[in-house]
Amino acid sequence: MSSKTAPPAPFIAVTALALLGALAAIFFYAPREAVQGEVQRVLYIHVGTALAAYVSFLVTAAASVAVLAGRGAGADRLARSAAIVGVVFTTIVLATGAVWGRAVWGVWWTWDARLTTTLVLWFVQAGYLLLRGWIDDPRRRGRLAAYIGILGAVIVPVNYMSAYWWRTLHPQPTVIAPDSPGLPPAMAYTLIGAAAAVMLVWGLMLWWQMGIERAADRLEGLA
Amino acid sequence: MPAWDSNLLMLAIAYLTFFLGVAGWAVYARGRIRALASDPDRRAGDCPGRPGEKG
Repeated sequence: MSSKTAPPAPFIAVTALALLGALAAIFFYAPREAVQGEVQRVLYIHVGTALAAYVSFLVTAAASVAVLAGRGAGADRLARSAAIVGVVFTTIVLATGAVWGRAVWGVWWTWDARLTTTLVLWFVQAGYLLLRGWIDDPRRRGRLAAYIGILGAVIVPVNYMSAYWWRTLHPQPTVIAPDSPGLPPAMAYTLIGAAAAVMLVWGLMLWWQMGIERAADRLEGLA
Repeated sequence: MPAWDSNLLMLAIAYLTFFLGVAGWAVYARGRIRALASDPDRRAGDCPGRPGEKG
């Protein structure tokens, strides 16, 4: 990768260490879950990835509002960078969830409310990026894409609440839900640590993507 | 295949998926950077306005 677009070396080092620490905790510190067995460890990376996907949607939406408010190329860069990184994390969420579902539910996919709304979110983000590829005029491209970017953030709370609103196979949150019995401390610490490590990976990718988009804008005469 | 065996295989597939996803993005990013670096408009040089137009 180019040094002009790369994040600072300490950021890369901290992220790599956090990821290694999280993997060590997932495989050597967190206890084996009694009912699901080893496959329950999928959830440590799945939950962090879902969080990163949610944050991507919210960043894209906030930057899209700024685009519509006339904040220009910088906001548009942030919106599309978060969407590109977000589509990666949403894809990973769907894939890791399917693997866990196959092991625990016996099926790769079911039209459960949480799964279906996650797929809808993936299509919204993919649509956002496809639309950008079809429009040449940068200003019009940014404004039209911004509406889709905001739509994604509207679906995020529906996706999160779907496990409460509908009878779903997908488990309800166990760490932040107030009336949940919660996780054993070793599992909770591992889950939080893994989520933090995944968020650092997300931040690193966003930083890099922003650098690439800045270079692309410079080429297009927008930055 | 014994249950524990398939359980471990699924665990391995899930973590492989995560790292393949991130690696896939890295390949995409590298391709974008190379494409931007070799863009003929960029090599055209000192263009203050539209890409490719000489200033």
